[in-house]
Amino acid sequence: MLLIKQKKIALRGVGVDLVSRNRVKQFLSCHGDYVRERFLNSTERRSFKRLSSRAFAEIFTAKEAFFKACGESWMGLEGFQGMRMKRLMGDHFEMEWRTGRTKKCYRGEGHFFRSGDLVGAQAMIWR
Amino acid sequence: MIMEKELFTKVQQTLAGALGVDEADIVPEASLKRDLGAESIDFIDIVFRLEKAFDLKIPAGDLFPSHLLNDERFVKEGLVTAEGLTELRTKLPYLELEEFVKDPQITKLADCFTVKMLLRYLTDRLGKSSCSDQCCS
Repeated sequence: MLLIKQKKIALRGVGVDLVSRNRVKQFLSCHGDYVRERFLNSTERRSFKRLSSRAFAEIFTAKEAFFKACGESWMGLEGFQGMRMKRLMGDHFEMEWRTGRTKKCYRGEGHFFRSGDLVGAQAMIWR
Repeated sequence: MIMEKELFTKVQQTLAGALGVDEADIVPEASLKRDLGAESIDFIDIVFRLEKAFDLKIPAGDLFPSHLLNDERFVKEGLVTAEGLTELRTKLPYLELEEFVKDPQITKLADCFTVKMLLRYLTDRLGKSSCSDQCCS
């Protein structure tokens, strides 16, 4: 008989964020260059030669939601740069964040949702 | 050296542009979050706009108490400890904590981020000796 040892996992944190695409469009028109330099990490900069409002809304809400799920405090834009998001099938994503200051590593997952002008993300991290 | 009135006007314009509110609503006592409705993306927008308007770089820890909130000495069971309050006063002297100390719930700290706090910070960064009542009252 094959015994499978089940690993107990528990939800450690949940985070949700929501943003208006029009707000993002306005934000990018003002700060497009700053965003590339100081919000996106090198991988994201390579992936997004041109950053659309939809793409940025997704990256932004995913990182914000993940940040909230981790329960960490604001680490400035440098904190957001340390988050690595991987898009999965459909509207799902995985995220990893190695924080610079507190030297912690968080891994989790999430998904996007949309309604009209709004783009949102929900992220969960597990113990 | 930028004049106080000029500083306030520039901050009003910056916040009005970022938050889409009337300049008349931007008074020194207004809380960015509670009164002016600032949300996550707005805080980044405000920092970028202030940096451009005043030609300076605002480091992460200057305006937001990032390093304090994860320290158990400073926050216990959702409340900022006496040690935490001392640390806040030392590291973020621009914050006004008189009201906050009466009920120091960490979730209410965001209410202390006011227009006046930005004015004090900018006054300091731009090298002015003090921020008088004309500017901050």
